Amino acid sequence: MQQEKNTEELISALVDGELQADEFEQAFALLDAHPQSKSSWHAYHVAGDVLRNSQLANSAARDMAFMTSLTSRLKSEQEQHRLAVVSLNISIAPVRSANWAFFNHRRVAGLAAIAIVATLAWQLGFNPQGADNFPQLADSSEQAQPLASKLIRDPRLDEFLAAHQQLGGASALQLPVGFIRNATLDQPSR
Amino acid sequence: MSASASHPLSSESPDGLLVERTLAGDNSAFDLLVMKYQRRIHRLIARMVRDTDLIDDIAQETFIRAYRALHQFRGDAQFYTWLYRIAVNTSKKFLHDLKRDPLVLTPVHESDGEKDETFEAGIEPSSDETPETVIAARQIAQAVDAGLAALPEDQRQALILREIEGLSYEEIATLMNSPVGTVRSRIFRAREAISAKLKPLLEQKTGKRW
Repeated sequence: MQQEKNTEELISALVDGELQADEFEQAFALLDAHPQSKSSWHAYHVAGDVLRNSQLANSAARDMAFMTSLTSRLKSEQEQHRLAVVSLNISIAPVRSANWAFFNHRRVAGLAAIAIVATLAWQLGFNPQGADNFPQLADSSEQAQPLASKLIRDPRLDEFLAAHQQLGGASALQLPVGFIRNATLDQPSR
Repeated sequence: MSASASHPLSSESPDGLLVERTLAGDNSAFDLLVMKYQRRIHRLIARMVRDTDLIDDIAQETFIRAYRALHQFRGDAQFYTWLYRIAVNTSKKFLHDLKRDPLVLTPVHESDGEKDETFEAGIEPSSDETPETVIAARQIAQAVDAGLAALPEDQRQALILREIEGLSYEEIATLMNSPVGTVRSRIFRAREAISAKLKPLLEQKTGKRW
């Protein structure tokens, strides 16, 4: 009896929000396990309401009927919520066809091929340094030079130019026609 | 209701704890909130609506809506303030849907749900009470008055300071020059004495207990 009184005291303190931290779970366990405790919770609140405003006794007279009806509606509400959650879980589950695995392999292979081709194209076509990566005529150890500075000049060309200038032969067009027409390695005939 | 992430409510208030427990799947915790506030909600709605049956319907709808929206309650206001707003909006919607003109007895001020009609003496909200409920209401009021009058002085004083003045146990302990544990015990014994007279009346109509 004394223990029962002490435990009901927890409900009274819970009404006032004056429980110690470790007492809350005890109080809720009581309320869950014992209808007597719930009855006390209700009666304590009715007493407080009526003490503050006697007209609340009007509503108190209908408390039980109201709770019975509301409990029934809340149970229906909870069931509807539960069904909604179940159907939502079904609708968001990933749907895969029977041949998904087969086409998935092909998809992966295709993507890999595209990636390789793109890499090669980038290396060959768009990479300004790409030419240096291939085995080529240019010596990669040298700095790249403009093409004009690499002209290979026949040393006898200077001799021919000099000979032409001595002979003259500019055409009416001021073009070294004779040079162009006769530019050979043979000695010009005189 | 399925379990959810922890709710950002103060875990020090009973209402906050009850909301957290409801969101965690303990539906009996919501029952406790209903038991606590159903009378105040009824009275609030009765100040907007005359029809007794409609009051009950609106009150039920209010708690159903609160249950559905519980995850939206942020704890930055008192739970009753939040519930108050739901009750007012539900009443307005009901009346609008029914296309009735409410006999509004007093303007409903939405600014502060805590300072509400339950602390005002006043206008009878509805005259459609049945004789049975009128008698039951009178008996309940008389049982509370008689129970309070029969209490030892220290228990009566502690209960009045708590229920009517709204003081904390600490404040009551200071006023009464007693330890907090003694205050807690006095308030409990006072409630037990009054409840002993009340419980038979509350269970009378249906013969059911919780």
